[in-house]
Amino acid sequence: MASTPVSRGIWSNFANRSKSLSVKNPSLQNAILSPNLPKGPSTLKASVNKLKYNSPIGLDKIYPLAYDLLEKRSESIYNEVSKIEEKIKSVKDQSELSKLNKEKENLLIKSEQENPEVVFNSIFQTKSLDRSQPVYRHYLKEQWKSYKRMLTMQRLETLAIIPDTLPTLEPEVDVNLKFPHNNVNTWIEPGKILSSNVTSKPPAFEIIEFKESKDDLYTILIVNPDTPDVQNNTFSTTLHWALKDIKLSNNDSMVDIKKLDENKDSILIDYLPPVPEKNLGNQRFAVWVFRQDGKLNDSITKDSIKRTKFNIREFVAANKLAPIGAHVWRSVYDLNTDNVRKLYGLPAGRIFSRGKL
Amino acid sequence: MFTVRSTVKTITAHVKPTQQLRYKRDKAGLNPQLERIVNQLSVMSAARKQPRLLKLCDEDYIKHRTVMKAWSLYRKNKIEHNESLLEKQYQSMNEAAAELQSINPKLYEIANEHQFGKRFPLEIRTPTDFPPRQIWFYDYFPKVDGSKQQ
Amino acid sequence: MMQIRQLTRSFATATTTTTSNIPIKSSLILSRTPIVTQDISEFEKLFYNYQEELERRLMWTFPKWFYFKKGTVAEREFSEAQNYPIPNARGVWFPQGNPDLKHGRDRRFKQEVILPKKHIESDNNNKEEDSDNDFDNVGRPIRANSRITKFDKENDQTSLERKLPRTLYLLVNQNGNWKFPSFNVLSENENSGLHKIAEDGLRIIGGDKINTWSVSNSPAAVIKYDSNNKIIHNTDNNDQLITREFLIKSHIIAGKFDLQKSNNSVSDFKWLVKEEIKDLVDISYYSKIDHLLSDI
Repeated sequence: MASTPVSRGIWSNFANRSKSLSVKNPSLQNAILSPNLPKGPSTLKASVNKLKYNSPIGLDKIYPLAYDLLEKRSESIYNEVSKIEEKIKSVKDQSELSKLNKEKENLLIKSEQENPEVVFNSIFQTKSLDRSQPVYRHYLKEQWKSYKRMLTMQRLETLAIIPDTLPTLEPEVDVNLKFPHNNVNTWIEPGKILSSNVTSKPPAFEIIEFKESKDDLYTILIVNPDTPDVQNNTFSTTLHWALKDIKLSNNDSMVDIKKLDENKDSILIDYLPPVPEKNLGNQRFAVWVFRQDGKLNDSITKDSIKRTKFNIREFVAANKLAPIGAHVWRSVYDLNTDNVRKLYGLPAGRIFSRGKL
Repeated sequence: MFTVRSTVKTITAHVKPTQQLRYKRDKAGLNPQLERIVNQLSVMSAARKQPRLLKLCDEDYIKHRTVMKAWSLYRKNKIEHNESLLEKQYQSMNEAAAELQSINPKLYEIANEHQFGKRFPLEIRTPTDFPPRQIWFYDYFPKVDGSKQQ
Repeated sequence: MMQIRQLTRSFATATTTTTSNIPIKSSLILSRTPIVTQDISEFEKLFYNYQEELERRLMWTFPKWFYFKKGTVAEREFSEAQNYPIPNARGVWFPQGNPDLKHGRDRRFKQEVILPKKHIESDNNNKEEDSDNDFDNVGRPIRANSRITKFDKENDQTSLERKLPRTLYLLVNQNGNWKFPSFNVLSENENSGLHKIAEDGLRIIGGDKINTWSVSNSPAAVIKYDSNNKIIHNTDNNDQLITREFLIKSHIIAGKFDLQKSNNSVSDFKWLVKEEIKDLVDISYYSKIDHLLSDI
């Protein structure tokens, strides 16, 4: 089944384009760049299924023409991009420059959006996408907006994280959270009730930016707005973990132990595991992610911040932090909570009971 | 059109007791009359007439998507081209009308007179896939005086 | 600003009404509308083919029992014409998957419905016989006429029977220039209007055995020439010496353009499609009429 490949234009030229805009697996790439499937369907694993498979009739005839049409359009868009690039060189004005850069990014998305290889990667290989490419960020953002963002906002609102901790949130980043309690790579769904064993060690975050980001600084806070305040017959907020000046970029988005070990200054307050009191029901633990303007003020240190009765609104306003993402989980007293208290040398827990009226 | 129940009734009404069976099929443990009814009903069943689901492998799915995208782009370009052409024609009409009004109002008035009874001519041909035997009618003679002519 | 503009405009009108000796011409865009449907591009052809194949693959099984009564001759003929696929059988290994036959159709693939041949003539489809042209013979084979005529093969550009899927436009060689036929508007025929002047002019140069239908009384465009017969592009020039040529659209319905010997100004004529017009006429002239011509 010999076949002539589809046209080799701009989408096969990697002089000015990133290698990540192509499919890595050579046999898959060959299948996508050929009118038919020269070696059968390589995404089907079982050989029985491979033998059974039949491509739709006529697809091999029309596909090269369709590829050519889209590639020609992409080529003309790349010409526009090079014109804008020249303009950028001469323009000095900041607002004009940011406008041109935005325009350039939109054109770059448009030029690669229909490239079959890019589409393949962004539909079937979402875990290993090169997020420095605008087109992949675009596809990831679309995917995030279609489900994950809505889910997160729904959980934040129904669990009243908004407005119990911060007034509102316009989400810009995708915040993923996992705990190192086992080796299974499971991201926590927002709002889940976790056992004290799971939350006994500090979590790792993945913060996925959808705009171009190079060494931006981030602050992460974990607060519990359900700490009982018996004297005032109310609840207060406790700060469980505070991280500052965390440097992240598009392709380096993980905040884990390894990264925190390398720059110990970024830990503002050490991790305090959730130890809910008995009979107090579920306690909410809100994770807030902020983007910083620059480095945080040096006067903010471990000693200047109080863990208990922490006022998060005041802290955010004082440091000009912009909330861009959030996450939430819940904890409840279980049989292991006392062990966690011992592990961290915390005082024994209180037992609440219903007061007599 | 008709319900299964009514069909069963009409079919059973016509079933005569058969004298013998050539071979035995007892897949459902039915008597031959009922089995015949089941067979006849199955002719009407949609599931037996539907083809298998069309499942594309990932590569072919991408190719299909590419083809559909290219098609929509092709259509869009075509429509945009036609619209720009119409826009230009409209502008040039406007320009000509303004020009005519400024230099010769009398001709402008005649050009904008309402054309009563103006109809699309019946003789004009609608395009067909293949030409007629006589492609063009040459032997035309103008109507004699007194008849209407546009 | 608005007011000044209006003033000048009204002033200009006032002057022109008094001096109606500004040269005006009326020009006719005479077109022959397509006789057959338009040719489709290669991309369209392949796309339609792909869609049709998909549709046939997803089509429900042809309900033979609905169209053919059981036990009739028609049913037998139809059944004999079909190519029935190999059914599944126990103990047989099918490497490309087991056939899934229902009502004589393999549900994994498209169904090919073959109609039984009724006409013996369709076997020798390629041969043209004398009986084909015997129009009194009702039993003659049905055969479609060619979309390409002999005038296409000869490239006879004066014929109305060329380029059937395209719109043809009449161009004449008037005073050494290839252009749409144009006629002077004189003070004595001014009362009839631009469209009438153009139609009448056409009959003077091309004979009166022609049936045309003008689309509208009003002009579709205007072209301005300076005293040296050069096209002017800027619009604000209100010179007395400028000639204005108004273009009127019209369709030819029957008859033909027969060049009259008595006329000296027109030496030749052609029926051309848009691309050929582009090659033939002056570039500046074409830039003015480009958008008026149909792509198909």
